[in-house]
Amino acid sequence: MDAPAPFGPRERAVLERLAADLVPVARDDPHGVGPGDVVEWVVRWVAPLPPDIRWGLRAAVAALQWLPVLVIDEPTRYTRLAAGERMRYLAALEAHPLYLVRSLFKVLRSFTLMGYYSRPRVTRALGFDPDRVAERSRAGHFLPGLPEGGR
Amino acid sequence: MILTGDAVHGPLREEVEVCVVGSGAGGAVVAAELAERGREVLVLEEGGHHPTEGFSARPLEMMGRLYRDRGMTCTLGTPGIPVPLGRCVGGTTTVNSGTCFRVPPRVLSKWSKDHGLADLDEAALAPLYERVEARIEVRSAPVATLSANASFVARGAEALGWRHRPLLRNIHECRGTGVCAFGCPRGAKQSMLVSYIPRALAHGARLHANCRVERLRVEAGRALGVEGTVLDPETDRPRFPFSVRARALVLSAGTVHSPVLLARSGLAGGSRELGRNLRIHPALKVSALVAERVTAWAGVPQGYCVEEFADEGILMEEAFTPPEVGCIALPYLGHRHRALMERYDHVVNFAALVSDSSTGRVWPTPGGRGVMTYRLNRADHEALVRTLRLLARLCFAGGAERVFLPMLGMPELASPDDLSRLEAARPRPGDLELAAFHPMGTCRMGADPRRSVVDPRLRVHGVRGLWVVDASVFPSSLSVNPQLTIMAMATRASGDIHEALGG
Ligand SMILES: Cc1cc2nc3c(=O)[nH]c(=O)nc-3n(C[C@H](O)[C@H](O)[C@H](O)COP(=O)(O)OP(=O)(O)OC[C@H]3O[C@@H](n4cnc5c(N)ncnc54)[C@H](O)[C@@H]3O)c2cc1C
Repeated sequence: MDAPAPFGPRERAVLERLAADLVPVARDDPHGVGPGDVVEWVVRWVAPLPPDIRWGLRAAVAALQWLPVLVIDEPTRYTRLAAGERMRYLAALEAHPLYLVRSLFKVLRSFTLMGYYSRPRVTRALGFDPDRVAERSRAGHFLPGLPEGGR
Repeated sequence: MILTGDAVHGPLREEVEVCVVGSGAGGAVVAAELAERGREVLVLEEGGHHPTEGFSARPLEMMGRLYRDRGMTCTLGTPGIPVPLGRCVGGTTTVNSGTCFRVPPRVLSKWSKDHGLADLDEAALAPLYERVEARIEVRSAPVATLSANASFVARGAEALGWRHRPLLRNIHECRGTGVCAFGCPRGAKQSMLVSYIPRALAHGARLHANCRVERLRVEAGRALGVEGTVLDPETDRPRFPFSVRARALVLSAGTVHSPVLLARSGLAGGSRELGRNLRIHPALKVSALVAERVTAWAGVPQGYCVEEFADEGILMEEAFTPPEVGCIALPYLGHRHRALMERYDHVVNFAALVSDSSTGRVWPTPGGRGVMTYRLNRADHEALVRTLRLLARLCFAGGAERVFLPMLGMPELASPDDLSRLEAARPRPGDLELAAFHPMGTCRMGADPRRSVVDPRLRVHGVRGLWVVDASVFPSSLSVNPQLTIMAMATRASGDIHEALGG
């Protein structure tokens, strides 16, 4: 049996908006990874975590969606802010004087970034190819790029 | 033989001579040492058995398999500090960085004075260390395996006149694959999974993976065995109960879970120290951008250190991570962050650990998990701020163009001139982003039963037949990476247990 889905459709929509803002993963992302893919990854990553952590994450998503009024004095939800306002809001969350607010945002930021940068196509484009790393390692080769032995 | 949860088809009942709970640095060594002496040993490990052949080098995928809660364990407090723990056969050694240190003599002198541990001196430990070092092949990281990150650190330290060197590591034919913390796909890092555990099994020990111990059975002051649940390896759901009777019980579930198990079993002892005195050896990491392409993920991630400030309790070590994990440590949002990531092959970093006098506590929760609380004291906070400044200086001395700080309000130093801004800054504890990899101290050893949980020979005060052998027994921060010392202590404890069991 699969673990229960950690986020409902509304929470997923908030996470998708966040992915598009943070990475930013445009629809024409050169690596073919869109915000929906990032959220899929986050959902799978979070699903087997203990319930208290999953609840904490849902609280973080709710805070992200509803705090614009307190953080940047905009009486609307995060997903309804204009693009420039959203970035201003996220920057304000990141630097918020309340540690709890900063921490909740940090967790969501981390998951979103991991969701994008763990995609094989993305890491390969950056030069890190885990499959090749494992293959070379098993075969006893040094990695290309090592200053001494690898060359 | 390793039995995994899926191969169990009903409740388990066992009777053995020695039962070891946990298969990490403490448990694996005890299991091997006793099996080699002919003892009948059963190791119970909550995590799964993941053989080296299946290690994919994909950092997050492996974190999901090998770490507890996917690496998300952390302390509660301001700041909350991630303290990742291994949960698999081999324990945290399967995912550690392979750095090896002996405990500094100054720490031993303090233990002798403050905790009555006079017989734990350098001379007594030397043969134990030698035995462990030979078995896990401790050697200086070969130059051929060091990354461009190490060259960068060496250049910076050299320019500043600071002492620096390759680290000692437990390795066999390492090729600098660069993913030690996510399971070495080559089995080069001599973790317990590929060293002491196979040795134990070869001498007849058995290991049950996916077996979570939930209670220790003690009657009339004597440990009798354990009870727990066999877990499904895929879903972690409970499958069947198990119970094991043993003549000697060794608790090696690590700093977070050994005290939880003792507390759940009503063995808090008379000292009120159980679960207290948590030290974590907090660390921080500075990243930097350099002009040349370095692909710092190629090579040993933790192969080099700067020891200039070791006497102050500040130990600087490399800690490079591949992009899918390293992305978190770089600052900024949106396009600015992405622009940095696109130059990840120009990113280097350097970390440092601070020997802490701050303390925290492990609290048992009703579900049997341990929750850590930890509060940084002023001295440690100041040491961390000093460390941050030193790391930033080193980065510029090594040729960094820009330096990125794990600090609120000052994400970047754009040139060496900015170092003065950092000197002037007065960050609060919650402003720093820390991590910790060496929890210890929650079942501390000592001669006085009112101030310690185990005695100097690691026997739980007031209970016969029960030893705690893991990082939880250290009475203060080791100020260095602990695995070697845990293994040395486990080697000594094995001799004691063997003797206690008689001929
Ligand atoms: C990323 C990382 C890098 C590190 N790098 C280094 C390094 O380079 N050098 C160094 O010296 N140290 C390093 N460490 C720390 C080092 O690995 C640990 O200090 C050491 O492994 C602790 O040994 P232990 O026996 O106390 O616990 P562990 O090795 O953690 O083993 C405890 C085992 O007990 C099991 N267990 C827990 N509860 C139960 C239960 N109820 N029932 C059954 N089993 C249970 C756990 O699943 C685990 O496998 C690192 C740690 C991390 C996280």
